[in-house]
Amino acid sequence: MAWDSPGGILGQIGWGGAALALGLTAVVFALFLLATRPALRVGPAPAPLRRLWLGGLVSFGAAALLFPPALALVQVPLQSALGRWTMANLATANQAILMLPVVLASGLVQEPVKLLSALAGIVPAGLARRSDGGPATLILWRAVAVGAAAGAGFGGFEAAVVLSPVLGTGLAASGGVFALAPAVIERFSVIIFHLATAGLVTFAWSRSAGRGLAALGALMLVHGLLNYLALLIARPGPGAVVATETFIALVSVTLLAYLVGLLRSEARKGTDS
Amino acid sequence: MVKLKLGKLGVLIVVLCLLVACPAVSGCRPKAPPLVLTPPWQAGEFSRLDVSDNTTGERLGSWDTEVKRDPAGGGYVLSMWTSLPGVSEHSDVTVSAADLVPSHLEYEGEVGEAKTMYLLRAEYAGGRVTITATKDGVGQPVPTVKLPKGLYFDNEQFTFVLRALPLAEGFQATLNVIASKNATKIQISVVVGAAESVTVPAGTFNCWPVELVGIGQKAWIAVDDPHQLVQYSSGNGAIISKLTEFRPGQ
Repeated sequence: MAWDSPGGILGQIGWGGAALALGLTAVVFALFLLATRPALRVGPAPAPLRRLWLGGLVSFGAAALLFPPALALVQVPLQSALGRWTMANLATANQAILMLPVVLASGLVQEPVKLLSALAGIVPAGLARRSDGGPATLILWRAVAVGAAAGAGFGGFEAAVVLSPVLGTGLAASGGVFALAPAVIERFSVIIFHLATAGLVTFAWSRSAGRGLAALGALMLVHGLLNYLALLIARPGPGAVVATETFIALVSVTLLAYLVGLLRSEARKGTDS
Repeated sequence: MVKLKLGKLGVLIVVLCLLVACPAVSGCRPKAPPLVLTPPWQAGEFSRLDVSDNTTGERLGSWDTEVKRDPAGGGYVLSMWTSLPGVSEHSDVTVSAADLVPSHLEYEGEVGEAKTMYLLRAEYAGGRVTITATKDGVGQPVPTVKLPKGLYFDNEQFTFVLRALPLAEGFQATLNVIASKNATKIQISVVVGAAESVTVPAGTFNCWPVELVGIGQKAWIAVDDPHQLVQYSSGNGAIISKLTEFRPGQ
């Protein structure tokens, strides 16, 4: 696949893959909203709801727009350089060692892009200043929702890129809808992952920039480690597909549950006070 | 409260790091005794395999191999010629007679309808592979590759190495392979199954089936000396190469 130019990435997207990715993204985002609903019940809205939707859309769109240049112009060249470095400097042919720095670089690029996209939506969402009023818990939830929208935009765009070729070539040739299932399940989990990490970073960022940066660093590491372990598990062998999908789903759902837990905990605190 | 929240994320990171450490650490430790390779050929040996589409039976091309004495040393020059639709390649790998470790590679390939000509020279020295390459006469930037510890082989000599392994049912090994054409290095694991009879145009041979784990390729190596490469499948069995001619060396 042509990941070395933004046009190459865009060129892979077909209508079918885009529609499927959008559907998956909508389901994941709806699940997130439903899971964090208790936070919505706290007090009056600080700003019109339509501003929140606008902020979410800006974040979602910014993340989708930034995906091709971030991947093609930053991540791929960075990974190529790291790959050349490992080949030239590490005295081993063991792929488990050679690919470690290369794969870790994925989190280094993607998590900051999602944070930038989330920040782009904060102002139109009316969340830039605390003086906008309203309960702190609700403002926090809205900021996280804008962050989650950025994660969904990034993960959704990636799903469109990954699923389009599978739909275009693989469906008829490899056994119909059932052949699609592993790719769809994997992308569903990955969208959850992107949404959860972006939401967690925004959660920390809304407390303070320092905490946001610390969370960003931690989740960049989590992102890289997840990709690395998924690649290791995906190595040939019986049950590799099931094991990989289970692992990705497990980490993604754990992170989402953690985010939901944090928000619910804040909602309870808001209610108590 | 904040400490507890950060702690949960920290636990996840620690768990993931431990999961990463396991394969990385296990990859650092030698698992098997050193390989002893015994070249089964004599200088002057020649093999020809016909390459076909395994589904349709359509002949796609040929794959020739030859062994020569290295005129500059005590080793061998292992040569291959492949002629397939859109690709015509020739390689000479100079290797040590004792352990088949390469010292020099010369490669030329003509690829695609435009017949783009690639020339490549790789020197194995000082713990590194230094590669120079040209594409239609124009020099190409190629990074150096640091050689792995232990034995290593060039990808262009790989099928010769399979013939020199101490093959037996249940034999397993992981080989360090330098793909000079891509300036990369990989590990290929091989697993040997129970001996089976294989009939090809050159005759019927009792063979060791050698699976190249995870890359969709399999070789059938004759049990008896000089352990010819009798059959080879690639592309998960889509392409099959069968021995049609074998001339032993002197």
